[in-house]
Amino acid sequence: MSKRNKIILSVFIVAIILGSIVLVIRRINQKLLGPIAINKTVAENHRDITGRQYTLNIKPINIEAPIVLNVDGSDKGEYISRLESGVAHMKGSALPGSPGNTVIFGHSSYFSWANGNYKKVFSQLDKLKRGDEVEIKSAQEDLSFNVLDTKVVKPNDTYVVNQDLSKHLLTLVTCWPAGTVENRLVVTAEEAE
Amino acid sequence: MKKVLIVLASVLAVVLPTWVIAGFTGDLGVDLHTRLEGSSDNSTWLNYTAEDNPGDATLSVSAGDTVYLRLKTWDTSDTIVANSIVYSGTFTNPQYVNTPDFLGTGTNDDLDGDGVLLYSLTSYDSGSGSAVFGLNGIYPSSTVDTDYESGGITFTTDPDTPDQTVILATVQITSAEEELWISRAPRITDRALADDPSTTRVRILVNNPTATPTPTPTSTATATVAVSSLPETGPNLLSLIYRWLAMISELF
Repeated sequence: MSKRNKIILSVFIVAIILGSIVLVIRRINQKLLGPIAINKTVAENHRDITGRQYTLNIKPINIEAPIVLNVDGSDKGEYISRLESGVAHMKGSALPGSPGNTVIFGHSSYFSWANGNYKKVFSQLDKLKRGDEVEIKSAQEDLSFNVLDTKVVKPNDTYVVNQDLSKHLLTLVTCWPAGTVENRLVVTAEEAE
Repeated sequence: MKKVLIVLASVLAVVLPTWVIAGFTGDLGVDLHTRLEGSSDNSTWLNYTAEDNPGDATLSVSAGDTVYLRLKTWDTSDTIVANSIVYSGTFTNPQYVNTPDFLGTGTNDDLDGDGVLLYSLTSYDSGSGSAVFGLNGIYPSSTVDTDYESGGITFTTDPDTPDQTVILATVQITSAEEELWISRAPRITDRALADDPSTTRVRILVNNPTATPTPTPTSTATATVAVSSLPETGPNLLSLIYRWLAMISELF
């Protein structure tokens, strides 16, 4: 075999090996970052018991994302899967339009190879300022909230998701700074009269 | 020896397809039909747009009632058996479809009672109201009245279904195999006595005059949401590497 052919053959073999490694890594990452077949649960969680589906709209920072309802905020496997198809309403928090604190969380950034179209949905959340409008829309009604404040807290500052049933609050949560999991950016808003 | 093998292969190549194709009567082979019928009392059956019912026939029930559906399948071809028939089915407004009992429980999969060819449920997604199910076979020369295969689906409408809600139950054949003596790849004429060539449908109207027309969402709020830390919505590379290594170690 000529030297030229040996080089071609070597390049070919190396390409096959590298390709196989990449495929294995992608497969493992998919398994780690969440199940692939989640259609059933996503469909179930896009509606409340009355069949409503909700969308989060924040015009000042160009956000429009479906809200996946009743996502367990303590189960990372579950919420990472749900976040592939929108932002997540935290299970146990108030449903949109109900008294209490509606908690919605989403990605500020995520692995580029992970599935989903909402990996940076909350990357501009820090741009919101007091008085900005946040909307939650469904086929039946549009709910409007005004931003009260924006703050950065530690991951264990769970008081931000506490419920006060005398109010209609909306709390948006995401990892901060974008690209890290160090802190959480929390935006609190109150339903407009 | 080589020449003998070549000759034998040539003979098989010519004769075998001829023999299989010759087994089909007519150009279409299997002539499958299917029809979904609905009933509120398990005895009087309606099909939405079937030939023997007026167009737009609607099964009218009350909220909380049990709805009975039966799916008939038959094959009017003379000799060709249809095997491995696969159907897809959907309910609209699936949130008002409670405890659906789909073909395959041992009671609903063989309404015609021949004990031979049975329907079986592959999957049902209560969120989207979509199902996949199958029938392991249907004999030729069957009709809508004789030798058909029949399976049942029952469910109860939710007691809180808003008044005048319509639930459309639709079934479609998605694939099947024809067989004479040798199984063939799918070659199917899927048909139904319904409003288009490939689907059959029952329209169910739910009456609930005392219900609030548009129910309000139910709050799930609790005093404190049970999380020990706020969700991790960013890329945690260290965690990923740790889990990645753990998974690799499991492989060995």
